[in-house]
Amino acid sequence: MDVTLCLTHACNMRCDYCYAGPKFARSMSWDTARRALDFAFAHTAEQAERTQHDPESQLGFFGGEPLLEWNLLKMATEYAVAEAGRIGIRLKRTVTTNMTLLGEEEALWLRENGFHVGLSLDGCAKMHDLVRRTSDGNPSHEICARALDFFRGSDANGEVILVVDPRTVELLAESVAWLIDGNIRRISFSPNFTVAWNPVALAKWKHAYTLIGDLYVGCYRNNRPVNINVFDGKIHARVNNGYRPCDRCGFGENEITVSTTGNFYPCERLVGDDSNAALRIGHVSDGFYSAPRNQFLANRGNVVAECSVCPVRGRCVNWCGCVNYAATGFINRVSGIVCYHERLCIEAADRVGGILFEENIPAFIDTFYLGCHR
Amino acid sequence: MCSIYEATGATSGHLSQIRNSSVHHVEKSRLTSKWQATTMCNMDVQRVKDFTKPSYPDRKEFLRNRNLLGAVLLGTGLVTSACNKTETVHRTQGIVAQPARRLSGVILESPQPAKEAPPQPGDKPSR
Ligand code: SF4
Ligand code: SF4
Repeated sequence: MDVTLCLTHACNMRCDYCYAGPKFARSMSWDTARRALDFAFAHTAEQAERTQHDPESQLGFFGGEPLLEWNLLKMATEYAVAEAGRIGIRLKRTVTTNMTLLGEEEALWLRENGFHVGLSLDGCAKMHDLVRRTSDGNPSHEICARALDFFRGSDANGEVILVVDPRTVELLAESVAWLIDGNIRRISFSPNFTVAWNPVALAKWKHAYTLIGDLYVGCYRNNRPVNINVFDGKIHARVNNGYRPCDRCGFGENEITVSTTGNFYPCERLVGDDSNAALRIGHVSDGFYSAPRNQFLANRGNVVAECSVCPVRGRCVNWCGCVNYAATGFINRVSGIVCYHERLCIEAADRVGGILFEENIPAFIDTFYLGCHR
Repeated sequence: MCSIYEATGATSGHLSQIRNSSVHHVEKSRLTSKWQATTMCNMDVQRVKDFTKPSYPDRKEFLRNRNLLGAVLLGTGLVTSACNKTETVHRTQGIVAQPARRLSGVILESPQPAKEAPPQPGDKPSR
C-alpha cells in the first residue's frame, strides 16, 4: 500500500491555483506519522501474503510545504526505512516540494535516501511568477531556480511538475523549452481543472501542445529523450492497448493519504483543509472505516454514457477519482474539460509517436516497444 | 530565443508567433468551487466519433512485423549471423527496420514479450 503523509497545512507560498486548501499552522505529530506508517506497512504485508506478491510500498510527503517539517520528514523516513527493511517491504520514497527550502544539504540528503523529488516549478520566470508567489506576495522564481541548481548538482532523481492554468498556458511552450535547455529531462503537466477555460485559453493549450510536441520530437532526434507525462502516458497506452491495471492509482484501495490529524483520504488531492468528513475513509486510531471506504471503492470509475462508445476510452483517464471530484463533484463523473484535455493529449501524442516511429528513432523504439528506458 | 528551439529548428517560428500574440488576454479566472467549473466552461463530455487510428503500431503488431521482417532479411541475405555493423535502414511492408547492427542477435531469437519495467512516479497517467 502506498501512503502519503500530509506533514503540514502551512506553506510559505500562496499559489493562485493551490488545491491544498487554506494555509494554517497545523503539523503532523510524530506519533501520528509513526502510527500511519505502522498501519500502511501492516496492510502491505497482509496484502502481500494474501496475493503471494512481494510486498511493495511507496512513502510520499506532501503538504502544505512538507520541507517546513524537515526534521519530521527525516525522522519518518528513517523509521519507515527501518520498518520496511525489518518486514521485507520494498519501499519507494517521494516528496513534492515548492523548492523554496531546498538547499544543497536537503538535495543531497534526498538523493542519498533514494527519493524521487517532485519539484513544483512553473518553468520560466515569466510563467512561474504570474501565479506562484510567496506568502508576502513576492515572486519566487529566483529562489526556485537556485534550488534547481542544487537539485541538479545533487544528481537526485525527480521531475518538474508544471501546473497548466488558463492564466499561464500561453507561456507553457516557452517554459518547457526553458526546462529542457536547463537539462531537465522529466517534466509532468498537472492541468488545473478547477477553473473555467475559455475558448481562447483552450486554443492556446492546443497550440502549446503542438509546439511542445515538436520539442519532444527534437529531443528524441538528438538522442536526448525527454519524458513529458502527457505524451509518454498516451503513447504507452497506445502501445499497450490501453492503460494497464498497474497504471492506475490505488485511490483508497492500495493508496491512502494521511492528514495532519490522522484522517485517511483516498488521495492527497482530497485532503484540502481536512474538514470534509464525507471524504474520509479511516483514521490512524481506528483503521479503515469499512462503509465509506467500500462505497468509494464500489463507485470508482466513470459513469458518463458518452464514454462507453468512445473509441479512445481505453487511453482516457476518465476514471481518475480525484480529478473527477475536483471538476464535477463526483468521483465517477468525468468533466468536459478533462474530456477536452484527454483528446488533446491523445492527438498530440499520436502525432509525435507517428513521426518518431516513422523515423525509426532508436531511443523511441527502445523506450516504448522494447522497454529499455522506462 | 531558447537554444533548444534552435537545435530542433522546428518551432522557432511558432515560438515567436506565440510570444507576439499575447493580444488574446486571458481573463484572470477565479478559483471556483468544484461544481461550477464545468458549467462555467460550458463544456460537456463529447461523443467522440472521428478518431483516426494512430500511425504507429501497438506492441504486438510491432513485434509481429519485426519478426516478419527478420525472416525477410534473412531470406535476402541482408542479415547474417556475422554482424557487419552496417547502419543501413531497411524498409519492408511499411515499417522501418532497425539498422542491421541492432537487429542481429535479436531477430534470430524466437518472439519474446517485451519486458515491462515497473511503473515510476512520472509514468503514472496525468491526473
Ligand atoms: S506551494 Fe503548493 S501548497 Fe503551497 S500554495 Fe503553492 S500549490 Fe499550495
Ligand atoms: S475522451 Fe472524452 S468521451 Fe472519450 S472516454 Fe475520455 S472523457 Fe469519455
